[in-house]
Amino acid sequence: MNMWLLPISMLLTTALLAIPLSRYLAWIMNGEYKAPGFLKWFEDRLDTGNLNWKQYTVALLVFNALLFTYSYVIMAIQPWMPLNELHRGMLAPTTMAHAAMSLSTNTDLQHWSGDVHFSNFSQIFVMIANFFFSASIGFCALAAIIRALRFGPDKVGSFFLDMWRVMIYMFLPVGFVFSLICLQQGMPMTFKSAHIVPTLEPAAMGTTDSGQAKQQTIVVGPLAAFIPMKQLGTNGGGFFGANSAHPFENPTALTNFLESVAMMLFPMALVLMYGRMLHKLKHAWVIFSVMMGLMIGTVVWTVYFDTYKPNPGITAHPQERHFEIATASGKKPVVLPAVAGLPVDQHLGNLESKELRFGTSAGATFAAMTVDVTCGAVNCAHDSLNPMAAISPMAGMWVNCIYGGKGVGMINMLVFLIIGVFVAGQMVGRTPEYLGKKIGGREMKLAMIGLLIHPIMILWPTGIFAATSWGQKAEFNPGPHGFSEIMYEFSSASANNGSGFEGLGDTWGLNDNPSPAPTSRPWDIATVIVICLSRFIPIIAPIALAAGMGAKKAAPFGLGTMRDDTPTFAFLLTGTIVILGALLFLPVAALGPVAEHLGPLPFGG
Amino acid sequence: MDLWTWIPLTFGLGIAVLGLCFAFLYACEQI
Repeated sequence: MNMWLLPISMLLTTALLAIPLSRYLAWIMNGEYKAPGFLKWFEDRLDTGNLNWKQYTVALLVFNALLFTYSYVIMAIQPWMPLNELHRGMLAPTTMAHAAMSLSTNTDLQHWSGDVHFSNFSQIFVMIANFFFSASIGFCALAAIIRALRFGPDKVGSFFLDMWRVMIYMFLPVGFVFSLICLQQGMPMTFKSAHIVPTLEPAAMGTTDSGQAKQQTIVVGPLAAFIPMKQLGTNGGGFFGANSAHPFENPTALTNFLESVAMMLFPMALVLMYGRMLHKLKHAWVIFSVMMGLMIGTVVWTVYFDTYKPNPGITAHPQERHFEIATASGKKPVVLPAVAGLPVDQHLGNLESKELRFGTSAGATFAAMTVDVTCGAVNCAHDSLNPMAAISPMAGMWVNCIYGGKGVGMINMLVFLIIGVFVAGQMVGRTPEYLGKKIGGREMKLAMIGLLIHPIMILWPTGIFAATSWGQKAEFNPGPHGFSEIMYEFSSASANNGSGFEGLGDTWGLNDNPSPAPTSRPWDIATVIVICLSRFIPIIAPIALAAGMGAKKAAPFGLGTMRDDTPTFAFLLTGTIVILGALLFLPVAALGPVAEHLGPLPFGG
Repeated sequence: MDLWTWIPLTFGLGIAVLGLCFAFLYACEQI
């Protein structure tokens, strides 16, 4: 029972906080607030008046291009900037391109470790800056879609004013309160780069040439300013490589609890904000409950298979096992000798790579939640999850609409809504309609593009890398687990999640690295392409779709209109998501985690 | 890596992919 108390309390707390927050978000984004005098001066200058959907999208893309450029330049000049006491050099160009694209798109997939490769200057002016801007961009895209549906294609609002509103009225106040709590809980907050300290054991770090004990470098920085936006903006990029498993990023059980709540808070509130702004709150509650059902499913699945089941890799197999494996030249017998197993008590489940400071189910809980909301922060190593447990984070990324990221989760759900309503309409022989607007060929084309780009950007690169040395030389584990590592990386890039199975040799790091990972260049380049296309095509297509629907005349509600605020609709939506997600990704699930679970090599159930 | 080669290449790659997104936006207008 104790294992379930943590996820239940996290979900309940977040849902309860999301309700009043959604009211506040709708109040702000509808422009119903009265700005204080000094802020109003800025708002009047940022307000371009109502843009049409094309202008809004162009503004969004241009802003992102500038953000990419800014991030790249700041990283490139890192060696010459202040706050670089540890004298970090320049990162490799491919790593910089990957980092700039990853951070500016709210992905935060990291082929670098902040504590090894970044100075505090870069952590502040690249990472924290992108935390605010990238999260706001997805938020603004959702606001544009809502206004397009409500007011038509020519009145979707002002992109710059929306960005301002999100950052000043939403992220800054909530982030400030969270950062005070983080400070109180012992999170470091300093511009200093590191403490150089003697170790308790005299030569634990080795000795210098002159025989003196080396000291330990403990990296610190402005963590209490970094972590709140990392979580609230569903960014997920860590100050340290260990991310939220590091005691400076996540010092106590309370910060772990609050970091989980923080990353789910805005995604949950945005679903209800969607309903409030469209005056369809009951419909939003149906969507919310579908998402909550799927989230509970993913959390229960991960916690069960990781906390109730032992780690098969260290479990004893007392008898010799005989198998046959298929090879190019026919079947080949394989004999696995008896394995004694490690003398590890596994009654609490798989504890490999878990932070026991937070409890036994905390790693699995965080893993499921972080991928559902496309945050990507981790407090355990996902590579060490039991194979069946690992399916849940992957599935969360594959469907990408279980609350999802800032705004984009609801946008992805809109695509599933359109397709679900279309399928239902076909089944009963009625013209499909959503929010009173008929769904035609144009809408379906755009919805399908928005839906299909995601699996294309996962499956095609996974196949290419798994079949070539690009992927094979990067795997740290053989067989299906190595395939899972490759597939997870592209799933994370495409879903703009940012967590990793690491276990994957994809880091070049600093440009003068004498021994970079051999295939890090293809990984950096591939993820730049996947991250960018998977971020913006599923934003642009739904904006165009919403604009088209907004231009249509709403049909009056009649006896034959399909209700979108009933349990039947919830089942329809859930079925659409599960069937489309399963159909698209079942083969790779079978090749990766399922094969690892069932097969004998190298580990097996 | 040679910075004079790879910095323009990689920066250009990022901008080019963003440019593809612009192209997609204009394609959406035609659908």
